[in-house]
Amino acid sequence: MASAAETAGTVAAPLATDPVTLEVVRSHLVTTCREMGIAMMRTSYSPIFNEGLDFSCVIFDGSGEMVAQADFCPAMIGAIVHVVEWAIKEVGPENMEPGDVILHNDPYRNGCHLPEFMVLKPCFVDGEIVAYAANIAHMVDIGGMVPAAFGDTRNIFQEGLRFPPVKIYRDDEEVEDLFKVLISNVRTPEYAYGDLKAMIGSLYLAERRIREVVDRHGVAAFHQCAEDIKTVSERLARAAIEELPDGEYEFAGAIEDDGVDPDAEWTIKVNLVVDGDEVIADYTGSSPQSGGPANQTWGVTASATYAAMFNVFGAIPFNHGCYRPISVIAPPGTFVNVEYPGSCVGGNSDSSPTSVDVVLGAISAAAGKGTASDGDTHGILSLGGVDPRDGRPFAHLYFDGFGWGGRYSHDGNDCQVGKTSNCANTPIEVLETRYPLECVEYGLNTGAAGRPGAGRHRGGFGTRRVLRIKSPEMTVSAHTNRNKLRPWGADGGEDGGNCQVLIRRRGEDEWRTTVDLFGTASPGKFSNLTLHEGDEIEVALPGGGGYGDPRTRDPELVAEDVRRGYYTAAEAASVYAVELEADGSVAAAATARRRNGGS
Amino acid sequence: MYREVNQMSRCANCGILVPTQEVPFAHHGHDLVACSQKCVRLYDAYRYPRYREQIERAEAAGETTRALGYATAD
Repeated sequence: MASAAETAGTVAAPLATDPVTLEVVRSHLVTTCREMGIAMMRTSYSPIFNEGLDFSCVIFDGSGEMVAQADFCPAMIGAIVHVVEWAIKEVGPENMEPGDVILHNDPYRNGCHLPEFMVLKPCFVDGEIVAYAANIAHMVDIGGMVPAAFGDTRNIFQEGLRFPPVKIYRDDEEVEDLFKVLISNVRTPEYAYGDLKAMIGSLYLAERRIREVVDRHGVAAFHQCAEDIKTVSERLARAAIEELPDGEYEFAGAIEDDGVDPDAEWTIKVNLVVDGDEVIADYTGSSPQSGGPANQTWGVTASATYAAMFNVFGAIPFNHGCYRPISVIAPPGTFVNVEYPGSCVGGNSDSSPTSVDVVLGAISAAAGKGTASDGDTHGILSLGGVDPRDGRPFAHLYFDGFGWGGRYSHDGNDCQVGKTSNCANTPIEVLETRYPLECVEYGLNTGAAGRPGAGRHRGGFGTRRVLRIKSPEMTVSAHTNRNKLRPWGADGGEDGGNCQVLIRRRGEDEWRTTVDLFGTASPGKFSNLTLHEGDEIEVALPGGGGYGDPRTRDPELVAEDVRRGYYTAAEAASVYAVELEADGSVAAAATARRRNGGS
Repeated sequence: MYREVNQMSRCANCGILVPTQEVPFAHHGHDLVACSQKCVRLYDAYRYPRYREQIERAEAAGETTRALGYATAD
């Protein structure tokens, strides 16, 4: 850990750039990242880009450290710090030329998971690399055994195509052979090509904007600005950490059922060491890696840690400086640092939210401000087949929002993706237009199995959606969690709900699990089941855990929950000790008696 | 030539793969590799003191250098 003298020296050093210039340059770079994202939205082919926003855009300085990002997907932004650094080191700046674009999706090389493609462009001015533009985006189909990647894979080779850092553009031209390899190995080549070109197009946009700001201020001033931008964020991050009391704070959570061994659980354990203005997130003691796809890469674990720590930092400019006071220790061969060739496609999407909550659990202990666990599963379905309307193959990655956990200050949010995701759902109109699916029902999951945990601040509700198949055949795979374990409550709050993935055959009334219907090992993680026209899938996502004793919840909020149909009057009495009048208003005296121990 | 990831070094402190620019350091008679000077410092100040027993047990069992840094908690 840095000595006090070292830290003090760093923090005390005056900035070389004047504040106005610094903010102008920083804002220019951040705006450029946002502009990159808008360009990707408007030019990409897949709804996961232009509706789901499952991508992130960043700018690194010439030294290979991130100086700007836009507010897209935190899971990617945390990992991209390491992905880009890796690609620069492995390729070597000395081997880069103007007009190069590097592609990289290898999860073991500090990446997230195989579908997360990263493209990187060095930006040259007068023969010198002054910056790098990069983005990571979720490619829907990458080959492999499952359309859209998510299933019960056992190793990386089943997941799809893996690219170490390679040049996909040279001298501003496509490396045609590489494109041929890529698009001949995916199920939706037009989408893959279009999406990749959208990613690369945004890099060229960024390069123009970077040149504008360098031309305006000069190379030397730009380099200095980049250093000062990072230094400011580092100071702010360290100051925020210093507010936490020194100490060690342990917390652990678990992931159930990796699709291979449905009865097993894997522990994610963190020891958060707060020491002055630095923290160590030590995951030693987490379970060995699993045989299925729920493992996390080192990059995913680091990303989850950063996402949790950003709750401590508040609204500060996020760049490499924020990461300097945070150290992550993740032993290789464990659930939080999978080793080659272990499968890991689901770790980034559906284990990572639990990792965030585990770190938040430790932070809560340090800060004295608690939070319960979120629902922590996106209900991921990988859907594939041929659209009968045009005879073309399709692959779609379906995900939706769960309930967040209640916290010390308020109820959990309804229908949110994970804290590392920041993605949007696919609207019904887009879903039905682009794929042979009909959305039959869509709403809050108020069913008994998925209901959020009660508490002074209850958990938020997850979503419930029913999809009907509109093609003769469709392949369905899944990666979901919380089918057995429930999101934990905190400080006396109740645990949250469970996830359910159910199938109803055409003409039948009964909803059944895939274990019952197809004999899958797991009800939440399976691959390549075939459904037919008229069959329906229900994905009901869990509500978050509750925070605090339910009997201390504001009775007026309980009455409001009953009015909205979340609880019955009888449940209000039994769970929250709130008695209601016939008109639904709070019976104050009866409630007081019940809460004071009366019946 | 292409080098597969399982042929690359791991940082003895944080566990990250180190593609190039390894930082070699000697500790309690063993040659180890870190990803950065910060991790060298942390290994010395935090990881080794904390997991000394497990690490030394691994050494006694003749575990490889790769394994030394990562003795998991009992």
